[in-house]
Amino acid sequence: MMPFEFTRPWLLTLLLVAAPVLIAFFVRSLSDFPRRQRIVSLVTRSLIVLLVILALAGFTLLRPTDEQFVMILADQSLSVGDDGAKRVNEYLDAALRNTGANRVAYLPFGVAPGIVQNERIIYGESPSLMGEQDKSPGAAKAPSTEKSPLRDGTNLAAAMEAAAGYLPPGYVPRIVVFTDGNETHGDALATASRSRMPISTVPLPTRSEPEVQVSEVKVPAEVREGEPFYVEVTVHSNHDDEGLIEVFRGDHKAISEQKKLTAGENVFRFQQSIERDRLAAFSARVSGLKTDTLLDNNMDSGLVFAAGKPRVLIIESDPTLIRDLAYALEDEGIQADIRPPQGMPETLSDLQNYELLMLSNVPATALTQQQMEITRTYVQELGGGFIMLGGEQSFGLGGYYKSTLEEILPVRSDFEKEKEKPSLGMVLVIDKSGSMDGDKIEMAKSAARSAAELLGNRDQVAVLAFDGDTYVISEMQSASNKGKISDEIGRIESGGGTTMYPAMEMANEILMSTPAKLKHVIILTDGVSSPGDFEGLAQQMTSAKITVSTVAVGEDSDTTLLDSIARIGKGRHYATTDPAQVPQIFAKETVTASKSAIDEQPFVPQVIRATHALREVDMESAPFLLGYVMTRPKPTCEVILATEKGDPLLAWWRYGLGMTAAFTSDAKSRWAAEWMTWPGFGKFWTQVIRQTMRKSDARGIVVDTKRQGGAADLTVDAVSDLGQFLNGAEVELTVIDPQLKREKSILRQAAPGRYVSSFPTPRQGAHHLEIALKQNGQVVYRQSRGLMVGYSDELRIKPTNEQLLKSVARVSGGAYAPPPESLFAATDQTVTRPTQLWPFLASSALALFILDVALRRIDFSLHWPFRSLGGAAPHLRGV
Amino acid sequence: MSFANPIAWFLALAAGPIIVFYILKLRLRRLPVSTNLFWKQIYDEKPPRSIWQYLRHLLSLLAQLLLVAFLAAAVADPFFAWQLLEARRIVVVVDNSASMRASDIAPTRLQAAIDSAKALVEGLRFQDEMAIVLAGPRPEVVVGMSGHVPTLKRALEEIAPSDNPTDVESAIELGRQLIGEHPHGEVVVVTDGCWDAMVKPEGGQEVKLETKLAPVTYRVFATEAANVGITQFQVRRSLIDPLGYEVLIAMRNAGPSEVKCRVEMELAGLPVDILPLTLKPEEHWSRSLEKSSLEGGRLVAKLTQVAATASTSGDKPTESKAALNLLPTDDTAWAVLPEREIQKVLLITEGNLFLQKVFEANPLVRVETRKDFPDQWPADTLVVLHRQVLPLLPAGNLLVVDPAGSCDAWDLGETIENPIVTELDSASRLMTYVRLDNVLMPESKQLKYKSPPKVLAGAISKDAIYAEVTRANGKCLVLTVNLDRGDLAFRTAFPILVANALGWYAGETGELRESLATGSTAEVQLDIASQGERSAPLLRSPSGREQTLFPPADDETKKNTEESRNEAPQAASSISVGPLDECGVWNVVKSASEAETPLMSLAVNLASARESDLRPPREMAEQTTAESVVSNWLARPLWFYLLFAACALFLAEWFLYQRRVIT
Repeated sequence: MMPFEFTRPWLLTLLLVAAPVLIAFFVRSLSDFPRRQRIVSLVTRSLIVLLVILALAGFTLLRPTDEQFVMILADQSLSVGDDGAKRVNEYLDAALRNTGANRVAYLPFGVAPGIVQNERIIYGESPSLMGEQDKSPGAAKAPSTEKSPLRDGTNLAAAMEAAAGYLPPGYVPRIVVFTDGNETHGDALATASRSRMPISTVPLPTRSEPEVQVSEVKVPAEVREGEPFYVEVTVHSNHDDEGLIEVFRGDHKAISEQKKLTAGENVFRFQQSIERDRLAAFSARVSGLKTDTLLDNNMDSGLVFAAGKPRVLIIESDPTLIRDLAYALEDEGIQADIRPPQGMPETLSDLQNYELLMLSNVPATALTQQQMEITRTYVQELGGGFIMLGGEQSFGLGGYYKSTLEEILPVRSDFEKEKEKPSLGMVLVIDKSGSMDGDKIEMAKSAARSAAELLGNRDQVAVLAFDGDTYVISEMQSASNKGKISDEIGRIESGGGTTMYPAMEMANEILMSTPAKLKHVIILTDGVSSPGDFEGLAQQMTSAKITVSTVAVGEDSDTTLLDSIARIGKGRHYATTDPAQVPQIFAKETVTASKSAIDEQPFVPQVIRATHALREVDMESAPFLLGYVMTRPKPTCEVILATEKGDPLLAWWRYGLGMTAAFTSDAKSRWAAEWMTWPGFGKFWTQVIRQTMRKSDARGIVVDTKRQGGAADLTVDAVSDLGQFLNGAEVELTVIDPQLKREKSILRQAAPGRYVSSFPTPRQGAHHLEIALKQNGQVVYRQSRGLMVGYSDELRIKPTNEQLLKSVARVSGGAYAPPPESLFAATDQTVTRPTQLWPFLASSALALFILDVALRRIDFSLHWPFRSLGGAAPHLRGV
Repeated sequence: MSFANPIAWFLALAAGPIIVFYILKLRLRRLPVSTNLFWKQIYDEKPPRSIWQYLRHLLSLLAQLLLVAFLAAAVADPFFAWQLLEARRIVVVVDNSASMRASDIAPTRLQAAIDSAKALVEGLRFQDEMAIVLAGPRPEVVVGMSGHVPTLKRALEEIAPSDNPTDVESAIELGRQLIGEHPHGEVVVVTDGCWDAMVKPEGGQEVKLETKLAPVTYRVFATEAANVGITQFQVRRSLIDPLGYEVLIAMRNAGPSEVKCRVEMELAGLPVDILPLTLKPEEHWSRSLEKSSLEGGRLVAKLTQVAATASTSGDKPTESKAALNLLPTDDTAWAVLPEREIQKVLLITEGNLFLQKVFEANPLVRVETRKDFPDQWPADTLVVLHRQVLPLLPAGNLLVVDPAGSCDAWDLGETIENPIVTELDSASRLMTYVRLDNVLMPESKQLKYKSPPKVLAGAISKDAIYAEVTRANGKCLVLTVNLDRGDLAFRTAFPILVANALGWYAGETGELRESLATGSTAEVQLDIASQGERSAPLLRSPSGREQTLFPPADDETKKNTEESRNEAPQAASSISVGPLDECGVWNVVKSASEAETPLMSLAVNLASARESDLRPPREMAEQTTAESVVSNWLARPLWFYLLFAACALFLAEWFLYQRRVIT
């Protein structure tokens, strides 16, 4: 190959222009110099022009070079300790002595590549190299333990790819990686196998500071109920120590043992079994160690699923009353746990232990918004079942109007009030003082609107607001003017003090002049009122058959006074710190006060719709029920049973992946006293529950999850009852992360009967996976799985991964652990380096130009006479 | 203005000699003439020292000094500060995925893309830098940051078409990384737009340096070209039929016309099936086919006879076969069907025809029946002990039926007359397809196990009737029923129990050898120790390229050679092979001999519905900003213009001097 090239060869065409010009005017020259001198002048000028045109055309010398450009990749992730830093420094001290003409640059990396440096990295003392995050003063002092986002992971692959991009052509490229090889992201081997340049690897020791970590909590993915299994806790330590190993099942401590730890791997096995939980998280913690550096890696968890009898959670205000139902269910093979409202699950993991949640006579005011949201997620996304039973605290009476749970129920809590029911006159007294500003006043307005909406057409309502003064927001008027009342309520604005007595007095006056059968006042305040004879007024109202309920919002309210007013006023007192509960309280109060939502006349259930779910239950023989709560069915629900008046008794519908049902009577002695002695009682409830609960069938579907580097791979093998692969199915995966964020995806079919997907797991904690396999639109199989994401993989201190480093070096053509002296040693490899010649060409042209001028200014024939002198007349010569 | 090479201003000293030449009083040449009468006349007509005469001299000097100035200034390499500030850092991402092989844009999409990238290189300005990154399954840097145009062009010319899928986003991410916080950074993607946005784990993204991300512009080289392709081809052994296998094949007609085609399938060179198909426009078609074969081998599916249907071709008579199916890469797909291994069974019984026939009926079982214990227990053989039990059970897989004695795993108890199965581990694969609830199990033996077994079927008395015994030296199942006394329900269930047990002993290995997608790497299990070969195995690509998987153990010097790519440490039995970037069957072979049976085969297909669809998404086509990186005035360094001016002046000055306009 020619060792020259042109960058812009097309500019050589200038020669085609230049040559004729030079020659033509040489021929037609008027110069009188001797011909020979003129020829020399032509040659000189031609050379000059040639040199300039060559420079313009980018005449370049290509010369082979063995000079190297060595890119040093320095792993600065958390797993590399101070010993590693020392090793690198020693290595570089020895290697950089032989740099010679070779060039070197440094690229620190962690979970992502840092910024390329031309200055040598003083390893372990210059954390700012990792980027802005490390510029804190603390990082400078203790870089090795400073937790920086960039250091919390190792992405060898990304660093190697970036290094290749930074290496300039014209040098023999070389990448040298200093690392412990414990990658948490990317696939270094795959990247190395595609690398166009050799990658040498120098192993670094992992942390040598005293370190103990819980590396793994190994539990079987699925066990049978009661089956003994081992929780295997692997603890890695780099020194001999002693510590307390604790194993928790959920929040309960199951095991606490003092154990000796030896340097290396320590495996402890603890036998456990799961009796009642469906999903159990086993966490192991090691504490009380003599020495340990990183504390974040002292705890890890594993999730185990238990297959067994279906489980139902019943929440009942008075747990003793629902026992009979629980016994009846257990006889039919359904386990029932009963808890009071305080035991309502706060987390999805707790609720996931059950196939169905049943609320029996639990008011909405006893539940938090979070609990309701979890229940909705459990039904909608995880396919759980939900049943609400009737009672004086259920449906509308429980304040569920417009609540999250009403949304998932197949019936509405509002209803058409019957004509024969007594009319209600209600006054809402709302505190609009300055302290109510923000959420509180907005919630109060929303609550007042809901209350007005819940009233029947013959009912009347007025709204008063007070601060230092009392304002009539909405005159007493028929509740049918819902739009007008709502507009008027919207005008309430907070500001001023708190003087409640005149407002209460005005409410009394208004109701005294109202011709309603029932009269009720709801007072809402968040502060302490100026004094007044509240109790006397309450007494006076009671004697006028006006009932008073009070609502205290926030911690600063005078709950003692409000409670006393409610007691004397024969109403109810509520205290809440969460303004979001106010609408539920008002809704409950309104429905309760109107005394219209309950019907306590005995009735025989009417079968409206025959269903397979109630086969073998002889509804004809079902005895009387003694009462129920009035509701309205939602348009798409299935009403299975109804009362004699046509109100829904049992209705259900599908909500998301799950199913919910409403039974407006109850399952205890108040209304179902006759039913409890009915032989079909147990069967009826078992079948209703089996219909509504989550159907989980483990057979025919094998789920495997693997997690690595911030993502999890899911493989589902699906086989029909006959053992044939299920093909063409739609396998839907719902992942609910620890912050309850939902992500849905469809699995891709990878082989006959096999479906795969992967999803990111960026957050620590329990991830719930719900897998639904559908064929022809019908869910054939459904499975739940849990995936525990523990602390960062970077903190899982493992020995140096020499295997990986050797492989990376070999597949890319590099060397494993090359001696420092060989770092810059010449190799056989050479590359061509282009050297642009234009400066030399231009300089040469300039030098020639002096000669060129000289040839015009000096008649050389005078000094060195030629034999024949031609030329023009002497007067035309130069000056 | 600054100068890269200010020392070159010394060259301006050349002006010195030129001025000296100018003021030099030259000696006139002496020439004898016959008369000087004419001189006077000429002097009268034209005064010899006119103003022009002086000016001519000055202009001449000026031109010469200007030439010195141009040349000296050029060598000093001047540049404006803004030129440095405006310098760009460009990363060109070249998509060389399989779909870029399509020839709807002549000669191919890839070539058009490369040509366009070359134009970008040509447009590079002084101080600009460019890197070229390939968007394969992993981003691959072809050339690092450089401003040298021929180097960049050579790098572009080296880019070859591939069978790989695309991950443009990772390449863009790498490009942005290379650009860093450069104020004039830009990523230019030359692609056909046939790629999907990938879902990235969030973990890596959360910790990025907060940099200003360089803008990305796309140049799309694609038309609405139609293509029919095989988008999935997998084979899996049946779980129930020992000889059966199931093929999953998916096709995609990514075009606006209905097409007819045929899929021809061959197993080890023999035709298996021919599927005539009519694919509607945009149809994703998939089907699973059940077949049977003991041998296994290479399964190939070929798409042939692609033609427009009568109705479509009537509308578009000009539509040729090639126009319906533009990409050949996805017209053939491969899969590897694992061979079925024959299971050896040693049945030790004093004679039970039913038991013997149950094993013999299984085509994958080779039964040897003996009445007494052998002197030496054969390896790799399932031992079935009927009634007879040794005090010390032999190692390996064991099935004990109706044990008549005690051994190291249990003590024999009493006979239970007519136990009924009440407890059943229906979740166990050993109990698949059998229902033993309430089935009578006559003359069951009560065994007192030394370590608690896993009960598969148990009686109401809590005694295990069928159980898995936990032991360290092999799998063991015990069925305590008297086969001769079993009722019909049990006799029907027993062969299924045995079939389940055989599958359980054999494990699930070999049931599925998944066909891989191009560009992937695979972990393969190779029993290196048993090879007993000194030479390292080779990975042979479908086109015959060979790569050594292991370097010879004692020859460390060879490990840095090109050949040693794709190898893994000698001791490991799990080896990473790849990148498998070519469609077809890759073989791991012992040596370079052609006829040799491969140690392992891996089928690799394009298997990407997105790559098979050659049409770019509309928004991608709209996003195209074709002239994002354009050169402008002063794209070249100032020295270039100075030299250019000097060149012109040299010629002009030549003319002026020769024609005596100046002297």
